[in-house]
Amino acid sequence: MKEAKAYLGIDIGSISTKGVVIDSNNEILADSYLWTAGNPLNAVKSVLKELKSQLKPDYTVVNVGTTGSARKLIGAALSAKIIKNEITAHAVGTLSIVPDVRTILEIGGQDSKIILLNNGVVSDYAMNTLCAAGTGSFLSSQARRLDLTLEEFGPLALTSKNPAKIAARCTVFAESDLVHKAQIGYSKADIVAGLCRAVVLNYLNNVGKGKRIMEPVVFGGGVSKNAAVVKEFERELGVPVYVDGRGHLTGALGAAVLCKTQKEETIFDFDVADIKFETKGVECPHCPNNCEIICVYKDEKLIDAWGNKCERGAV
Amino acid sequence: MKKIAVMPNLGDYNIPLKILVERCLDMRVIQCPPTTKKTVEVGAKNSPDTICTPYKITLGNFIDCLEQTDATVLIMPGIACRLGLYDVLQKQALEDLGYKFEMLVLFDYAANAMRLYNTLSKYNSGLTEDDFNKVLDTVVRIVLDMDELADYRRRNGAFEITKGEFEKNYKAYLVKALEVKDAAEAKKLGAEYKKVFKSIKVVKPKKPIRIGLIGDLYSVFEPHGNCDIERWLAANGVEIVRDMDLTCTVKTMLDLGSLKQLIASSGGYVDYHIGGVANITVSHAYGMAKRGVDGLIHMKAASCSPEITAMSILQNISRDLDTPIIYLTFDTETSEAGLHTRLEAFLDMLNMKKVKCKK
Repeated sequence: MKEAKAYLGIDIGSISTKGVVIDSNNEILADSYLWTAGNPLNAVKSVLKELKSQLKPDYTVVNVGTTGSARKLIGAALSAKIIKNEITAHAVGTLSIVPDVRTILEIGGQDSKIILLNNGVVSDYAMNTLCAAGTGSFLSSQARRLDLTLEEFGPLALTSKNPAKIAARCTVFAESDLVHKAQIGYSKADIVAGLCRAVVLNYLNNVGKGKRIMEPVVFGGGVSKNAAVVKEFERELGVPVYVDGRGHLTGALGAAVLCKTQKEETIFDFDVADIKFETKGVECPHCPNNCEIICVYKDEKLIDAWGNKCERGAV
Repeated sequence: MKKIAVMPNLGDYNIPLKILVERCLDMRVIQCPPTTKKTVEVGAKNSPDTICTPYKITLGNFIDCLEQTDATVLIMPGIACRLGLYDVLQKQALEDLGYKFEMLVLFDYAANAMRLYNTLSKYNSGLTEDDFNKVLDTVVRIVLDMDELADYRRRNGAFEITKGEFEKNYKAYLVKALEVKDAAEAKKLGAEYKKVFKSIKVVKPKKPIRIGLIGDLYSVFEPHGNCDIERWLAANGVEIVRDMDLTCTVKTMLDLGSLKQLIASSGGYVDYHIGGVANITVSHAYGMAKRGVDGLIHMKAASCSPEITAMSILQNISRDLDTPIIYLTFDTETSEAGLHTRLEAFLDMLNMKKVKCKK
């Protein structure tokens, strides 16, 4: 019997791809978290396979939602009903876990954002614009420099009693400062702890500037897995910072929850993972603007195209 | 033979400026080639890195003109901020690149009608004050009317039944405006099109999302300077409120009294001139927030310092009057994907707020 309805949400980020299947009570039935590895279509196929193997056969997926930077591409490939920006998706996803949340801190691979809510409604948000210093990629590149894995990073930082002061203003300066601190003899633990603090200070100065941070505070995104960063946030803000075990899935969760608002339902077939998808980037030759047009092919048939600024570039 | 002149793309304001120059000087003004990625690239390549974006794009426009047209006179409209002082640098940069041309600046930092007359009569000694005033009256009439029409279009464009009707008629008005002989004819034409606009069928919800636009002149006026944000907003069902236009800018410039008025209407958030058009930004933000727009979008070109000053004041207005403001900076490398992500989230937020308030 395939009676119960389920909803699929996929969050295709720059670094990782996340997928969840939820039931009508927002309970997670299946989840998957994989590296995007520069190939969103392949990553999504793997995510779908994993979700399918976890999902009990008595559920039917009736709608699909996508979010994250490849939401449009994947949305077209999976005929998603909901193609949502990551800010709204994260807000909705977090609300479904912590309904009274007032502040969401989110640090992902390439971007970081802050979302303020009031009575379950987003009242303000900000996203980093120019600087990568407060993001996950910065931490992972520094971990590589120090010959550490990301998993070792947080626990090692927590052992430090005297974190090194590292310039938080800018990635380039932070990096040269880090080298300097290592050369004058700081221990690895102190440097790593200093880096975690630098990420927090950079985030609060750039993304969180001028924002009133109210409790409860929820911290999500990949970097929330780093316990030292969590501790630094708590120290700086002076309030408890809640990290949910599903924190890395909130974007996907939000996309899935948003699916429930759709009246129209189309049964989703996991076999789509076996279909061949192809994308082609074409430069429109019709004027010097050379719009970059992306064409998406499903089994060699064109299903969608975008990127043109005028009708001359229509495919 | 008449000299051929050209000016950078400045939204629809190229039309009244063309009328002004053609009727006061013995020149033919042609349209600058459309701004493309290539334009921006070339402009940026030949500009100092930290200079403001409008400098780079207008320089790119000039290079396009010199490469692709027969123009020998480059016109820099200038106005209101340091863009009005950039002609010296751009002239040097273009000469260093080996181009031969004349450069004409219409409005310098402290423009007024007399100064404009003096500037123009340098290029045409036969221009009498009477003739000049006649032309200026016509141009002012057209600017007032086109601003009024554009404002009506911004408020209703999202809700037109036949898509593209406002745009079509607005373009038709501009083409006809080029032909009017004097202020009286311009007035007649304006009145005619105001009627046409009112007759365009719209289905407007009772309380649509209303968003106010503020920011520096270039980012507000020139669609290429803001990734054509007004078109995106209209396509997403937003009523756009924008008090900032040439009418209001020229008023402030010509009349110091209106600067005082601007400061007086800023709700106490600023009490002196903070440069550029930043006083307009603050005063309009305060006014629109008071009038109850759902949110404000602040647009500035990268490295526009007066608007950076305004931003810190806007944060207080936003908090005190509970009006969300999103801050956008337009650079030569602005990605539309990132912009649309932020705008989409902004609309979602305003919509959610509205639904919640109804309950």
